[in-house]
Amino acid sequence: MKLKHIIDIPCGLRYCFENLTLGSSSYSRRYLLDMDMMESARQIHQWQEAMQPYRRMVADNRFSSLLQTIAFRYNTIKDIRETIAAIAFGRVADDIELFEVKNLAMGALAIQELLAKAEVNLSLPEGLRQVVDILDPDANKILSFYVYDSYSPQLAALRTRIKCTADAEERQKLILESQEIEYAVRQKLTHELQPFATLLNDSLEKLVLADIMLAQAQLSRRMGFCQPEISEGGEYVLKAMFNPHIRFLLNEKGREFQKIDLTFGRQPLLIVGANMGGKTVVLKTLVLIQYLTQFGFDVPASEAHIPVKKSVFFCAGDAQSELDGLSSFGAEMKKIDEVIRCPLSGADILACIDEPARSTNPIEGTALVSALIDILAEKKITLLITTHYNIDSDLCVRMKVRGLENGKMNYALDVAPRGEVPHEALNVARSLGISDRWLDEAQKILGKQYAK
Amino acid sequence: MPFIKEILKYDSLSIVGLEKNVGKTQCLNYILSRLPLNSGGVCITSIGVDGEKIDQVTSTEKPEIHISEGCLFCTSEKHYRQRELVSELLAISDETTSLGRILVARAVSPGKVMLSGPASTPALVRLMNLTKTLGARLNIVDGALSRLSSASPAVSQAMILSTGAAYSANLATLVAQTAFVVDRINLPLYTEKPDEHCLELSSMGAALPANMKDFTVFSVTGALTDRLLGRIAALPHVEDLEIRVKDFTRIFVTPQAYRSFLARGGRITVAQRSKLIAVTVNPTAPNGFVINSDRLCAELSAAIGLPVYDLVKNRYEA
Repeated sequence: MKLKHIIDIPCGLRYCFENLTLGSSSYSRRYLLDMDMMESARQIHQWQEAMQPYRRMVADNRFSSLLQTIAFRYNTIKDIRETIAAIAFGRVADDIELFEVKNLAMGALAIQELLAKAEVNLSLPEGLRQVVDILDPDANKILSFYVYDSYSPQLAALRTRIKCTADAEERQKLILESQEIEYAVRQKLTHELQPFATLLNDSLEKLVLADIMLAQAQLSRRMGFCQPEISEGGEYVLKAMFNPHIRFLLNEKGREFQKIDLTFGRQPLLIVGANMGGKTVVLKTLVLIQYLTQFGFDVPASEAHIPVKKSVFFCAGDAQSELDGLSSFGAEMKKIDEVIRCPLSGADILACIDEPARSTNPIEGTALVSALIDILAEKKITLLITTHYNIDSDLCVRMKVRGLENGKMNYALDVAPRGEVPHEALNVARSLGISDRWLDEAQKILGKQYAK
Repeated sequence: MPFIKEILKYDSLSIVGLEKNVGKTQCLNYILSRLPLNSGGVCITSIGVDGEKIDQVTSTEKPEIHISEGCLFCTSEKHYRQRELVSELLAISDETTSLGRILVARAVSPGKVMLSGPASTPALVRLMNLTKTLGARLNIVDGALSRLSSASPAVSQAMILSTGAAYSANLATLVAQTAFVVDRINLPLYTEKPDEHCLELSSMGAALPANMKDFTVFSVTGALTDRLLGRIAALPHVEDLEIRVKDFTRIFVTPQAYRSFLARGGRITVAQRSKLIAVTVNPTAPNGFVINSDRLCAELSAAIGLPVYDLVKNRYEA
């Protein structure tokens, strides 16, 4: 599973990605999008360990101008793997390709030096200096390249003669001659650079990884994320979690995102509660946090313990696949069926299912959801499910959105007693200013049913 | 040595030809060979492809662009490989063209080069910002065939216009059409902020607002077209009207409609304008037709109120 495959799942992952301040033109972006999801705690620990120096650097206000300098320097780092491959293959490089190699080598060393000021060690291969020496024979230490006079005394003499020759034909002849010598010089340079091809590729990768980690650390600080702890027992502990994208949208309207605490994991969690109570947001945020953790990011919470999963299912009920000729019910059933059929061990799966069977009648819907919980609980899949149906199952923990309090929605989650689902839909509808006639009529009908 | 001192006052200059073979490249070479060496970094950029030895359309011989030592230039990867000079590669920009990425280099020895540049003005502006960081104090943009867009004030502060027999072989027509371009370039600036008397119009919209007659100032977003100008000119109080456009490159109207609007008392103003430094002429058309150079210079100069130069005939001293 690569980042690019899941980035557009509607949980706010794209928003976090777009807010990364990646320097190296577009290469770091592509590299990150092409990265595989980390599926072991060891990998994630290693990544987090490697990120520590960048985290310290970003947290230190003394380095804010240094960070800008580094970002500026990163703009010159380009994806030149094709050029490196051509040199490794032995094709004679032209001026432009040699410039690219010199640019990479000098840029990498410069960035290493800048990072060292903040005690971040990029540990680039030593041989990179030799590459610079080959392409900077006059030790100008300036980022530019041409076939310098000092590569060949013969070429230098020829160039002086060209300058002094006025006769066009003679001049043309001399120019051709000089071009042949230039080719020979470039051939020699290519040959000298050939053994450094692997080293150049390694340096490029190190630079890109440093860029990504630096951007992740900056994002974390800017957005108030925290480093997630990997929990071994399969339990999730989330303190003050939030969804950065939804928070941004709310802030634009002058509203605040209410942060939520959530602990679960050993048993399926059933979230019930009022409409507009943020049940779906809890699901989205959990999916987001799971993915962020496994791509090395920090997560939007003040404290987070996250188990590692191999597969994450997010079934947001409104997935209608008209192209496949399926109704919203059909599309949803198929999607959920994938979870049941998934061959992975249950502990490796996180399934977040938003109001399953919502679009069918409540009698069959309740049966379908109850059965689903039983099956997934038996498979020991980590399950988070929201519903309006009255599910009576021993196998799951149920939590309830606190709901409307004095006309304001409280999104906090409480453990809910078994039995009745809350009937808050009418209250919520009233707070939206829906016409009284409709709601009063509904109230009357409800009253009659309860009387029975 | 006309107008060289004037150029040094600006940090960007575009050279625009009204037609092919009007001596635009001659004009560029004239400037390049006469700029004082101590004037600091000069960078030559172009929009589109230029600098070929033989004119691709009319097969007439064209002067190549001659670059002196120390001068910066921008060109595509393909043309860089074909250059006939020793040059030091300074940067590879992010702008790409069909001929490869655009590079910035400095000439180590004098010689000839083919120029190519980004095809859009925003890309050109980005490229010019890059060359500034590499030491270019004056950016000279070699405009492409009948592309006024590179002379947009958004790109360059100053401009030189090249015209000639290739544009029109009839002296009177040539003078009138060139004068029309010059008039648009020299349109006055508006300074007041838009207020309640100002109505925003777009020629892209399907219908124009019905309450146009209640306004005296029209701010046109995008292009001012004949149709739009016609609708405004049809209003009863033309003599009080003002049309505001972003710059002269946004005006796409026939000389007749333009002149009639102004003659009836209407005004057209711009948000930004570039300084027209000079007009150069090439009295020879590619088909061999020649206009009398002195008469052309005198009549055009009288029509536009600016000096006009025939750089080839007069071979101004360096």
